[in-house]
Amino acid sequence: MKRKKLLSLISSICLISIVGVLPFVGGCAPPEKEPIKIGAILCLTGVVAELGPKFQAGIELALEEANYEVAGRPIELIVEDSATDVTTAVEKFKKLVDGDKVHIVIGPLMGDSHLAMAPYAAEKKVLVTSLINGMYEAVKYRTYLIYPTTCMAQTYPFGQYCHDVLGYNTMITIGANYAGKIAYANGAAKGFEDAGGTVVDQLWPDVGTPDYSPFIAAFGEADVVLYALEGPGPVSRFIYQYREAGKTMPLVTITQDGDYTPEALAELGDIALGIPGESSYPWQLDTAINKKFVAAIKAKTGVVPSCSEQNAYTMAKVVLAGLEATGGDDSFDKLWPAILALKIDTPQGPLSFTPEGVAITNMYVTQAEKVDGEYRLSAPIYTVHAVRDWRLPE
Amino acid sequence: MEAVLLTFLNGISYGMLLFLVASGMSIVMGLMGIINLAHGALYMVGGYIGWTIAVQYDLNFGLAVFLGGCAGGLTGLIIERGFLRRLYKQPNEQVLVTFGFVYILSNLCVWIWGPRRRLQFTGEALSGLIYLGNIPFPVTRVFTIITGIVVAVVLWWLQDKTRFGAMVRAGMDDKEMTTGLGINLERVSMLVFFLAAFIAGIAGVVGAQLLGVYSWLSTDILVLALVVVIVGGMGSVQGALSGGIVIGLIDTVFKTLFPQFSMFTIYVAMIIILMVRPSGLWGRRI
Repeated sequence: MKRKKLLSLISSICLISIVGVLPFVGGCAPPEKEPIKIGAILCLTGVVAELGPKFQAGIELALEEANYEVAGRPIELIVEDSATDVTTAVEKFKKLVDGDKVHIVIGPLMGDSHLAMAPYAAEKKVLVTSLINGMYEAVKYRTYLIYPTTCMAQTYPFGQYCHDVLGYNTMITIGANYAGKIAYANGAAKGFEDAGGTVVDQLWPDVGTPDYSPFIAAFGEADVVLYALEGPGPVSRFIYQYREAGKTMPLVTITQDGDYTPEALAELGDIALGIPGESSYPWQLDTAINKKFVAAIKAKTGVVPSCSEQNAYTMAKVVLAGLEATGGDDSFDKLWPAILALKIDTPQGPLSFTPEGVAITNMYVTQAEKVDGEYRLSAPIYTVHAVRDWRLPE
Repeated sequence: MEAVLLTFLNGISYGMLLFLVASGMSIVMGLMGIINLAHGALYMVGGYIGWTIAVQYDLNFGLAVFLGGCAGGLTGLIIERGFLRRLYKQPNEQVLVTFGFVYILSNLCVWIWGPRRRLQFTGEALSGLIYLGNIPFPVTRVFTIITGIVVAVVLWWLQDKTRFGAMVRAGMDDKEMTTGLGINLERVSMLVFFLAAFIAGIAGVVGAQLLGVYSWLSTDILVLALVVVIVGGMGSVQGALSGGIVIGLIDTVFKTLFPQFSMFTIYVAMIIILMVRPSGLWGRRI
């Protein structure tokens, strides 16, 4: 009996020792590095719900190319839905910052949301990136990466193009009634007027307006109508109703690369042809880096990219490059200056930043074309290099 | 003058669409006392089915309208038979259940048809313009006006000139007495609910000619339908028609003349009408 007890005691000690040693076989296991959390606030539901998955695809592609790792630290992406609503976007931002403890947030889309979030982002020292342009009023907080540039700066050269190249002298603008599109429309209007043109009327339908016919009926006479609506759905609806109403004034637009998604063009068909528009990213740009990006997005989503995928991809790449430069330190005080010092090539073209965090990029003019029965956004028909917001110091 | 006439016609066509959406809701609220917040979702389901028939399968637009109505009707019947008939005289529960169906149906539509908004569509015969003097006016909007008139006449005939309509009106006045006379009010209610949902589905396809169809359409159109029902008065075809036209005209005129106020003009109109006639334009006096 005593021998049995002794034997079982020895066996237990051996077993415990083996179990205790196993983790250290092959050397001591180092403590795992904490993941870098990157938040993304995307419009997965709401008025421009079709853009949310595109942004997400771009961010995921950038992270997949980096194997979800930077400077030896794993990356955790946390995606939240803004529902294309300012209140929801702010709530989700606070959840990411206070609950998930993120220091980097990509998005949301709408300029109003940026403005609402900006003071809290500054207080909590969270780096935020725009998705499609950004509000100049947020520049002062010095926590925003505004890409490809501010809304007004993006469209100002296009307003000049409408006067100087297309030869129009009078313009009517119709823009969605929220901060971002108001800025876009006003940027183009200012460029048009600074070039010598006259803006005869400006109309501002509410976001989500289902029926544009009252506004179309209110159009006076002008050489051209510029529309700046909140996304592919409203743009498609406006063009359809404008053509349906029998109006003949030429149309021009801004953010055409975001609105003329392959799906929207396929549905619009011929009525989308012949409308020149400002685009920050035409997918047919003839560069090696862009061709590689287009192929990767097409493999991932089945369609060619619009600016939505490209912008989100580039912002994620910028964040990764900044984290690489800081050795994986995602604190705002280290990451912000590291990103501002970057000069990189992107699918959209060369990219750098002003000290205020506003990107300096190219602007293009495009239009819809029909090639072999397929509708698509054209290659650039006009390029403006290194667009920079004129209100920022040189 | 041309702009005024065009605005008026746009307002009438929009108002007729609102009537199509609100007519069923008004009758259901008046007869059955049910606040069916899923009515907008039935409109949306009809629109999506219509898109599938007319655009995806490139079939006849009239068939799309009919099948859109059937889809709305069947969906409404499932909601009524499966859930609402167990919640008689429980308005809070009815509101919660039907609002829950708004989310269920909206997300089902995103799951089936994706998040992308579907562009306006119509039949080939309805494309193009007619000219009223020098004023071009889309044929689709003329079709919307005609459809609204036809539905209004049919509903009025059913309501005022048929035995079925008499039973419906009797049920609205006194449920217990009507049941005591041997009328199967439950079957009458079920048929009324199906008819209301069927019309909502038809409205979804007709409305898609103007507005397209998208997954959050149910809440957008529900708010408008409620305003029309409140303004016109519950339980009558005349109320829904007058409410629809009044709201359609006010909304369109203000968007044309004072777009900066267009966000709330219909609600101001609703408040003013309620202050003068609390039961609505054609509602029974309270």
